[in-house]
Amino acid sequence: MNKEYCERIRISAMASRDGESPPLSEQEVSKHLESCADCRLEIDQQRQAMALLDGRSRRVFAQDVWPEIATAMEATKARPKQPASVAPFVVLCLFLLTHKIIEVLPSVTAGVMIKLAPVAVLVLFFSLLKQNPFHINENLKLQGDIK
Amino acid sequence: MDDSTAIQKCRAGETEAFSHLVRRYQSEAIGHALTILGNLEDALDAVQDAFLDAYQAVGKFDVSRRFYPWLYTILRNRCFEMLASRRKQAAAGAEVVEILARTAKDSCGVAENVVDRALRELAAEDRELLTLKHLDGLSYDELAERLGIPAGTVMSRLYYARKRFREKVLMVQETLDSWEKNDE
Repeated sequence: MNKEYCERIRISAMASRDGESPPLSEQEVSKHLESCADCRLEIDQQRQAMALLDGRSRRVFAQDVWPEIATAMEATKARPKQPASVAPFVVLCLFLLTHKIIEVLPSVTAGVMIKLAPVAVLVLFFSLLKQNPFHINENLKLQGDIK
Repeated sequence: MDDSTAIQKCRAGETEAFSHLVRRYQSEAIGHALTILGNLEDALDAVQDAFLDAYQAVGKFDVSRRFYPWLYTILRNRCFEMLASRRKQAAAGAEVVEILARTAKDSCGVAENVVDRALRELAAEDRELLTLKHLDGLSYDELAERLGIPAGTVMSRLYYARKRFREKVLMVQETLDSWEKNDE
């Protein structure tokens, strides 16, 4: 017997047992089963295995996850919102760019102060914005995960 | 409060309305997450994350559809992500929890723990499919919707999952029999 055809017969028998529309007609399945002992055995074994799951139910869990969810929702609400304006960041970029240009000018002798100036400005900038540049925004991650 | 009313209220910013949805579906969701993940601790984490994701995306939910199948899609994504990261971190040593409810029934002479163990030995995808079909009684079309695959694929995947389940039952049974013989 053709192995692929036998599998289609077995899948059809399974679908009929499940009360679904089988890919092959019941007459075709019955006709094949009359002459194929392997398929008869396979279908019978599958029927026995399925009987082990029929009438079973899932275990019921009484855990209440709402308190944790409510806490997480409150924490999300309390989180400071992203700055609506990009203007402060544009100013910062312009400053850093200007600083770099001044630093590479051959007429300027780069001292320690001029090298530390960007760091000082960055600290001041994020302090004024009340933002932690190293904080991972979990909100963005969660939204990206939903397909 | 019915689901669509609760969802409308959530959209209006009433977080308390979301508690109705959580409490209505959490038990079902924990059972489903446990089936995929195999341990309760991870299942609870996945359920919490899925509800939070659902709350944040509730504005996009189509109220003409049922809430739970939508939540299930979010939940199974979470579970499979968690499963993938767990595989990367090697095996987790969490306590194993039974999937099936205890019954007085002893099916065809096969003990209940054998059936539960055989289920747990299967790949998460097979276990999910078999339990949705046999424990939740979903039709092929409903399975296709839940899993996001065509009904024809459901049919063939179910056939091979059942075949593997049968092999696992025999394997677990043989292992237990050999342990019993060794004890004697």
